Amino acid sequence: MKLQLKPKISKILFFTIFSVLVNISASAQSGQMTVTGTVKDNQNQPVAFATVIEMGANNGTITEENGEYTITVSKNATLVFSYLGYKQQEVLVEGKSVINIALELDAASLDEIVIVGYGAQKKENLTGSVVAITSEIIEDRGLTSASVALQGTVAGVFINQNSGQAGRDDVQIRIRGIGTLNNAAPLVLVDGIDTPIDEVSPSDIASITVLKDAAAAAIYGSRAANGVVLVTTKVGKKGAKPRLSYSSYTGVTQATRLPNMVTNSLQFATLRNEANTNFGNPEVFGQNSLDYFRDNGPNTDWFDVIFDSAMIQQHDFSISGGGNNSSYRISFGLLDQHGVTPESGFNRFNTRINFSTDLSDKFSIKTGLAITRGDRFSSQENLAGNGSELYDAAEATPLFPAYDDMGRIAIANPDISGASLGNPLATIESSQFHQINYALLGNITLDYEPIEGLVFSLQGAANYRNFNDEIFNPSYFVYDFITGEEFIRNPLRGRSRTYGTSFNTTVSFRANYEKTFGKHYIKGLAGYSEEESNSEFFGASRNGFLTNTIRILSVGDPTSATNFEGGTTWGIQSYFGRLNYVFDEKYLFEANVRTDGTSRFANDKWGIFPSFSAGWLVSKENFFPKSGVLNFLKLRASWGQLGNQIANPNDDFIYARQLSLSETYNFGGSVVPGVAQTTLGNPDLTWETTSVTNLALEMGLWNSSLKLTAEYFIRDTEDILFTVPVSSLTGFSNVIANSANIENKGWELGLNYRKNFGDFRLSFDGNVTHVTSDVVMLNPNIETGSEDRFIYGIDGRRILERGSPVNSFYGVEVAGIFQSQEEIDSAPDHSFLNPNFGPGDLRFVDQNNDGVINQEDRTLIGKEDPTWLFGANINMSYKNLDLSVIISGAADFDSYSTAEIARPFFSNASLEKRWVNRWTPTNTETNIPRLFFTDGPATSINNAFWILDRSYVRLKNVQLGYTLPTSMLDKTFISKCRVYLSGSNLITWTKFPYFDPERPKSNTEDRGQDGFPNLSVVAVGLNLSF
Amino acid sequence: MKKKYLLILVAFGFACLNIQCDSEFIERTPLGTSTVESFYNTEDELVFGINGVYQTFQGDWWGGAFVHLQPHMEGATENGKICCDWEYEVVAIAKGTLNSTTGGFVLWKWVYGYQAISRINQLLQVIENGIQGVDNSDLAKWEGELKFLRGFVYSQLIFHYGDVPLIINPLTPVEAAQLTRDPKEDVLNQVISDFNFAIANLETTPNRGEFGRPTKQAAYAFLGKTYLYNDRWSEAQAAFQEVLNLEGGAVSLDPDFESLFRGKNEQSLEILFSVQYVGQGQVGAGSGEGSFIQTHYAIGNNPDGLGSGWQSLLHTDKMRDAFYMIDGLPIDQSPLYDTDSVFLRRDPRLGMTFQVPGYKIVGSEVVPYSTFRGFPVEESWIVNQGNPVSSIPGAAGMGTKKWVTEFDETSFSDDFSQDLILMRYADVLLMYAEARNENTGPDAQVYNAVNKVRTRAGMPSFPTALSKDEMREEIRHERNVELAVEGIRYSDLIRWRIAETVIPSIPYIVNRSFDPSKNYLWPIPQSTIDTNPNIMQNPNY
Repeated sequence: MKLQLKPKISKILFFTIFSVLVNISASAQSGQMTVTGTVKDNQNQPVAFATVIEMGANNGTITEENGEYTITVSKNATLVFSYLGYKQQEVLVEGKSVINIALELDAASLDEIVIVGYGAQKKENLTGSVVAITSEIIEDRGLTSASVALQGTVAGVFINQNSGQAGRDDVQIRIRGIGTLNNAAPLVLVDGIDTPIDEVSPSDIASITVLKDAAAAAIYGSRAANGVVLVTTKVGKKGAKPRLSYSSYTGVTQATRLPNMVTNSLQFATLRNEANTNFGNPEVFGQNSLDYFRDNGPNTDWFDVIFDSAMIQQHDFSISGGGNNSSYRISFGLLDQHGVTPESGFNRFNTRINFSTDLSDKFSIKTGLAITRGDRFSSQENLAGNGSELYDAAEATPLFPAYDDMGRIAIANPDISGASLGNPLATIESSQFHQINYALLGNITLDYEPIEGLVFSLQGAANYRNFNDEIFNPSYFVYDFITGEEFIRNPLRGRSRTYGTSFNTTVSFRANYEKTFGKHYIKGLAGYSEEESNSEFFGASRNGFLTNTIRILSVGDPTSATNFEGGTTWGIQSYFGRLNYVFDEKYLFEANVRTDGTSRFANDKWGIFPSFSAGWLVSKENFFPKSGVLNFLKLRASWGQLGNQIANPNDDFIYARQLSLSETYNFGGSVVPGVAQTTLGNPDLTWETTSVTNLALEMGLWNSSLKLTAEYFIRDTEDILFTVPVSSLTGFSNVIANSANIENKGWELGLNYRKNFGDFRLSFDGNVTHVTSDVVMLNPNIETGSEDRFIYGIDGRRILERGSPVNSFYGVEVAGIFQSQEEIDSAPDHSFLNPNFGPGDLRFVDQNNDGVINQEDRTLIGKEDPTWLFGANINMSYKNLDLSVIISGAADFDSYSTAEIARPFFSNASLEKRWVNRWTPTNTETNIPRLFFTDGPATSINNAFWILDRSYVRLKNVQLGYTLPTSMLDKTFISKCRVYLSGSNLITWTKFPYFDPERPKSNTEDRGQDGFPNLSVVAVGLNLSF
Repeated sequence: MKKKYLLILVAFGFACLNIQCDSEFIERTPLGTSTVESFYNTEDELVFGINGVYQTFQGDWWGGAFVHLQPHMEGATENGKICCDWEYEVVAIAKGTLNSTTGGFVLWKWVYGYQAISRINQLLQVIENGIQGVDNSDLAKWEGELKFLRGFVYSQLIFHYGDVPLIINPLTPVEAAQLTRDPKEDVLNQVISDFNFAIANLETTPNRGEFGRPTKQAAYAFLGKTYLYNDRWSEAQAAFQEVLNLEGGAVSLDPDFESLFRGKNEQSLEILFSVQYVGQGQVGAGSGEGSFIQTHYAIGNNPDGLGSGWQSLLHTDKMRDAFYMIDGLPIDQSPLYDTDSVFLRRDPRLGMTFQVPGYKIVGSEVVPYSTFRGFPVEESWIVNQGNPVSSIPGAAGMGTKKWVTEFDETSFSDDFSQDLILMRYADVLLMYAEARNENTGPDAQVYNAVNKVRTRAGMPSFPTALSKDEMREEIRHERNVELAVEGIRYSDLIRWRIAETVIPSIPYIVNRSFDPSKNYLWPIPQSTIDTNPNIMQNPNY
């Protein structure tokens, strides 16, 4: 059990660099002997991966999992033992064949090495804002995707998991707020290559580094405006014996939160009648129906019908090791996830081979190959949204059962149950979606070190992905639950296939130089890279199939055939350089410059992005008190610029004057092809530029058992690609242009505490972020700031305007509920919105005091992005027991929901339970208005009643583990064995009433039920090393 | 050893070259779509582009277009009323409440007009630059077609807006933001020059023989109409004379008046230019190829399920009463007029233009209907086998027949094939007569022209020995009934400068108003002024 975090990759790098620096001629020496021993930490626990080096020789090894090492050295050698976070020890061999070492904690050591852009850096020497998490935080959590590992563990990073649908986690990552009106996703690089983060198996990840400010990210200039996430995969160790490890977990998943619906049929029907009579309309359900519901129910809870708990299991094997000149790691993993709704699930197979070898003392080569196969099936591709079973479960009323008396899929009886939408089970029956994905990721790096400190690297990588979708719509039958009448659905059946591939390649060439002269340390990097992507897809569909069993496109009705294809491409070229200078180990400077050219622009392809940063290790100054509580103090500041070139990830040619090929016409009754330019294009488009200023303070107290990091940042994005109106004299109405500006501001606080109390060890990492993202300007051509606004979304419920947060909601404020007709009569006139305002309806605020409530009274009523982000990661251990807890949360953000679940009886749909507490003449102490059907005074204008607070705190993960004592394993071939119990998303504290507060964010509008709920997972797991 | 390092460095350098350290790497061509730069390499591709210009006339169901619902303009005259305020702002035009933010027709003429202009100018530049392998003289006929279309668009723009920016080359948004309005006279000269180019380069049969493309005679007709609308009588007369000269050959008056508007005689020699529609059943026709004129004008909903058009255009008794009796006399002079049977013994065009009592659809007689589902729709007209409900005062008690195809008179759909006629020979004859009467007075040629139109309809000839002024009034009347429900009346009232007396002359339709100090021109859309402060608004808007 290690206390210290173990960035394994860092150790290898450190080891490699160290052994190169030692660089003594490898002339053979006489008098060799073998030394063995065990390295243990101050807790008397074996230390794996500790470095053992023969001083002055190009010779070294790493300890095994059980802390043991074997090394052949000269008899008079000096062995240097080192391990991150511990004091280095030097021991003279003097003929001893067994040397056991107890390492001492080096509390003041901050020699952690962090992966940064195109290299690694001592954490102490960092001048930019960089946060790394290691494999410990990622492993053993029952994660189905790697991105979730960042949730709650890194300050300033907002992770929104949009779906718990098996195989479709749909994770959105935002670093320090929303910096653009376009694609705000960070650049994710896996071993230096642009790859979707979720294509990496969590168990293969050695570390994830998040580069947050311009100084840290500038080396990735063009792509880095929204931050960079660097994922490094695990590698083998040179000179290490083969090590096998196996880890697995098996668990049960279920939806975190489901809405509470009114499921009592009689209550539902009564409330439905009330919604009608409230507005003078006839009752929907007569006495016959009400009697039936009283006697027979059926009280169907549709969410209960379609949601169930489901199994999940994952198995990962790996073998790693190395010879004198090479190392390897081979892993493969299997994930088998059953969906929480019927007939859905996901299987993933992944394998990865990382290999490196020294070709000579000057050349080395590293290569990695990963293959992932995902196999996902469900009724629809997306189990949320229009037409999905979730949508239908949200709409179906409790007035008919899931199955009829004979166990067949039931539908409502119109005479008894009134109008109702379909049975979600029928929706599941109606469609079968199946997708197989392959991803192949390969990379190779050739390093050449002609002289000490100078390394040339040539790196190439390719990422090939394909997806293969098939959909079949079988025929099936449904039955009226009262009469038993049979109805056929999908009589024609239907099938569609879509096949697509994408191929991304990256090539880079870099030169690194590193040198120390006296008190001066310099490091330089210069490089070139180019990256391209080509993707295409095609598909076809037919209907008219004779049976459900023969599903080949070619047997469908040929006259129904449709087909389609498409594709896109882009390329980026970049030159970059970096210079680090450290004086006297106290004064740190770094400068980066990168210039990028992109195919996404026409005339102005190139952008230059510089950054500068500096740091001061105050605690290394002579004047700094050596014995105070404060033992470490560092100040750093940075300024830099970054670029963004993506307005819409799907449109790589927005600059072009694109032709529509569908401007058909006809002459004399015959259709002729027609073509016209339908987008104006803009050849002058160029980079969005983000300028980031970052100030930070790092402190270590009480021998660095408590570390604090505070950062303040301002991020200004200018020239945002945004659609602005253009003179109709051009023949067009708008044009994309570099026009809008946005400013993000905020601060982050990170706290890290480590303390041992005898056998009890505690660590706590906490972070808080406050970030705002405001529109500075949308259209520079508009002089009056208040007119520079863009109202969009359904009924104009969203707004962008100068000085307001990005993604704001727009509507009127609510001042309570009208209690009487007198109150309505004396209130501002609401009748312009709807003539039917009565007691029990919402009272709106007359923002402009003109005595009338209308669209002029709209104001900001909410926003979609959180102002506050927080997370905590607590680890405790006592002897062989360990407990870890991860908490994450976000606050001050909202959703606007008006559709199926939010609204009462939306288009004959169901009713969420909070409406039971609606206003009635006898229940006046409520904030829920009186019932209405689909549309009522409460929906006559966008208003704050429909704003729901999404703030939440979530117990993201809790894990209790037990590691078998080494004494128990001595007789076995097992070197380490740990068992654990893990729970994810077990508890959520939120006021948000339905589904999951981690809801989708979509500009096409939420429809109440959008977003498949996230999953909670309870799992037991096992880790074994051999 | 040094040599070895050098070698390796060179090798790295080569590697760099091999991976294209060149700028072509970031030049990409769009896949699956075309750009202006990469298209228009053949004559066919040019023609596809020209076809795309017509799309701006055609429109689709809900969106706008340059001319697609022109008959609606009848609702801004004394002859009719548009059912609902939201239908393309015709009601705002009728009430004189149109302003710079008014949408519908007031906006569409401008926006789609300039959309058409931008498409045309782009293609004219393609022609100017030449197409490899195509002789320039072969391109002249296409240039003629494009200039015809440009002349057509600009002639309407100056008619409705007065001075407008004259754009004859492709322009950038920056250039567009700096333009000013050019004097109407300058634009008019360009229109005349464009039509003359078309006349010189088009044949009397359309390019590629495709009906719907302009012809030489169509260009003469629109040139004449442009002169006429600007009171240039002799030039107008001369241009129309060229069309008249082709009578019996490329043009003629169709013996069957009604058939022109019922979806079965769309390629009559009488039709000089029309917006083309086909039903969705046509091979290759997607959504948007069909006409929605029928849907707007066919009879309304009724409990029998017959009739589900919108009946957007309602007709006044002014319209009905404008039709003479069969003896050629107005209703207040003819002994044939019977106030109890107002539809009897009338100009046959009344019954060919409108569904009048006695007209049957699927065996059911059509009758006026005063209410529809509880909402007052005062002049609604439905199929009803029950008792007729008397129409309220002012309503003509008739439904629309023009533009409603014979095939399916009751359906609500956007896939009808009925073309929208923009120029027909009867109009040319009447315009010729009008111009010639202004030039020379009512000579035999004037009588000859108008009598052809009137006798074709089954009406007696014009009374002889009319004065010039009397003839002017008779021609104006003849235009009103011959061209009823074709959307031409509004333009005539404007150009005759009688709109302020005629449009408000129906007191039972409230709030009709026409302010002669401003309403003779439409306002320039505000969005255009917002994006270009150099564009000045028309007076009093």
